[in-house]
Amino acid sequence: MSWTWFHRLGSPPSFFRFAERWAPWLMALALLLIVGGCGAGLFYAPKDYQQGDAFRIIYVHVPAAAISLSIYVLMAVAGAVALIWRMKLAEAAVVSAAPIGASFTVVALLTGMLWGKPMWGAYWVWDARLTSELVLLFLYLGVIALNSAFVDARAAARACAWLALVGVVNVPIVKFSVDWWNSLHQTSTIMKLGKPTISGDMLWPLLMSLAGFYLLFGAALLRRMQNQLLWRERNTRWLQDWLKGAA
Amino acid sequence: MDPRYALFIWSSFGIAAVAVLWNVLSPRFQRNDLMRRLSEHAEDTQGEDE
Repeated sequence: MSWTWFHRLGSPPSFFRFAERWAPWLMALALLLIVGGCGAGLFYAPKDYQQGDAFRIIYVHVPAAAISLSIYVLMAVAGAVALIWRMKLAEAAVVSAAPIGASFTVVALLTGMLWGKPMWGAYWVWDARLTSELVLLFLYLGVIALNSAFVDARAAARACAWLALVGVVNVPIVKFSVDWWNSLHQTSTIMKLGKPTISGDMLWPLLMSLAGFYLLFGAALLRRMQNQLLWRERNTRWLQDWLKGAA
Repeated sequence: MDPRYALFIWSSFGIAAVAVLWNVLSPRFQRNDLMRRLSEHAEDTQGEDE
């Protein structure tokens, strides 16, 4: 199997055309999966024997929380690539992923609060999981603010890459906080070694919703990276040719 | 659905729907704005050339 198509994606024109072609399909599939997964979670999945209907918040809370961590890891990897190899697309990925990650972190925190109130009796406790997730939101906001603080896009992206790399230390703290410390938050149900401790009827809508959120991230990232390239590469021949074609 | 939890559940799904819509629409709005700025930029550079 030839991998040249993959290497070509490292070049801005090839990536731009790839994103132009695939982002709408990814977005449509993501929305179908999210609507299907959340719909099945709301109306098909059985009630939990302890939490009753309140457990249905899992269908938005868990995908948002999982993706908030994944996006930060991706930003750190892209940040390392940007700093070591000075790859333009990796720089674009770091700054483009931050607002998406921040939005899902807000969803994870707010839906967690709305789940916590009926189950724990409080919207917020300074628990290790909740606090480290809040720190993750501040890291995302830091990357967004840092990106806006520079006039030069490449210098901004390199500063953001450093923050992404330093901040990634928080990701295992968020993930394993429920194992390392006594916590009100429950331990992992799905993403753990061994079999998930959740019934199959509850699990498949969750996996569907999870896949939908990841695809939505993929589509939104492609679009935002295209926007980065539109401005950064505005004086290049390939982009001017594309603009003439698009007009 | 248990009415004791309905408000919490629907609010959670509402917040998620807002985030999903924002992620779908904001890159599109950003792109429209960029295309407008790029056409202005092209006009400016054309003016400078002339």
